[in-house]
Amino acid sequence: MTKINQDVSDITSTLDDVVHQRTRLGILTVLHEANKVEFGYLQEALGLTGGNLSQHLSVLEKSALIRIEKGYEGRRARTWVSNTRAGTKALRAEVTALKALVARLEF
Amino acid sequence: MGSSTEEFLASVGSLRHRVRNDRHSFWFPLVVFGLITLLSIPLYYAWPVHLSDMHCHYYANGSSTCSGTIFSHSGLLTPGFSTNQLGNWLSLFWVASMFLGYLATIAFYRHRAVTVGLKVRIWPAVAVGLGLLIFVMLMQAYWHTVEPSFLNSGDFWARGTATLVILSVGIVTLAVLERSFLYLIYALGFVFIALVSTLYNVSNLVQWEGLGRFITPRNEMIPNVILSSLYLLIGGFVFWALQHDARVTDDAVGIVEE
Repeated sequence: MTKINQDVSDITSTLDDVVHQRTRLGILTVLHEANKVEFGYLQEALGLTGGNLSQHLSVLEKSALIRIEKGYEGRRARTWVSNTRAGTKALRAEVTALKALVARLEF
Repeated sequence: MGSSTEEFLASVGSLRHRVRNDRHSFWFPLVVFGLITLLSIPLYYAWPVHLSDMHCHYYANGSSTCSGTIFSHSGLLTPGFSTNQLGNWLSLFWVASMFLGYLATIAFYRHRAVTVGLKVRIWPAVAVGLGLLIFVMLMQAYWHTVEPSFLNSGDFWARGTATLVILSVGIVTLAVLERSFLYLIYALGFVFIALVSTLYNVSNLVQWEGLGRFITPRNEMIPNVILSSLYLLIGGFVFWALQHDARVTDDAVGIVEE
């Protein structure tokens, strides 16, 4: 195994399977930019169906990377989603690893 | 792999950009506080009030210089501002309008959170802005009882515009919370403008431009207030226009598209 291949292998081994998935990384990215994000906004921003988004949110919630709060705004039911500390940390680690990967491959 | 990872990182970047643009409401407090500052102008007319204490010399080109004692202890936010009750009214105006301005800002951010679907934390900016205001008033009240002459020292309180500096700290905090480098640069610019409005007679600049004949001791402080007000209002309208433009031209992010 060459040095570059070894480096790439080291970096990819740090990637978290839960976070590395494109949609889930997108969800964590959106959540990182606001305190709380409404389900509808996430759905529209990421171009997902309600069912698809719910599945990904459930995976992230099980891993304690996000928090989901359900409530009412007037008569309208609202679901607000936010990052946990672990979620923010996981997002940072993922983006750092991806940047390192790009840097290695550009070399 | 490298190319697709790069593209993926780029799409993460554009997603962040889009969300930030959607959540920004920075223009609103700028317009609100700009209008409040504009509304304060009538209270700055008649500065200094006791013209009899002043000795003015009027020059042929229309400019004038005045000297005399203008300091007293009128108003907690304007201790050196005037020799009668006008300073109290001005202080009352600033306290009431700062509270109302921050309340309007909270209400607007809440409204945006519900309509857009993004909640932003702005309480630290409100706490810093109003906390500093209350702290300054308490300090002034304390020093007023202990050593009144302390209030007369320095230029900071003399023009009755020190509240603008307090406001600028709140605006900087809000810019930090909005996570925008452009907003932060603008907010730091407002700190400078507020300090100029507080420590310098902007009317001097007006006199250099040959408009000195319009400046009298009674309206000498108004250019200071107009300067800060215009900076806030223009900033508010420019940021609103930029944000509106970005929303219209924002392309689909496509982070989840393969």
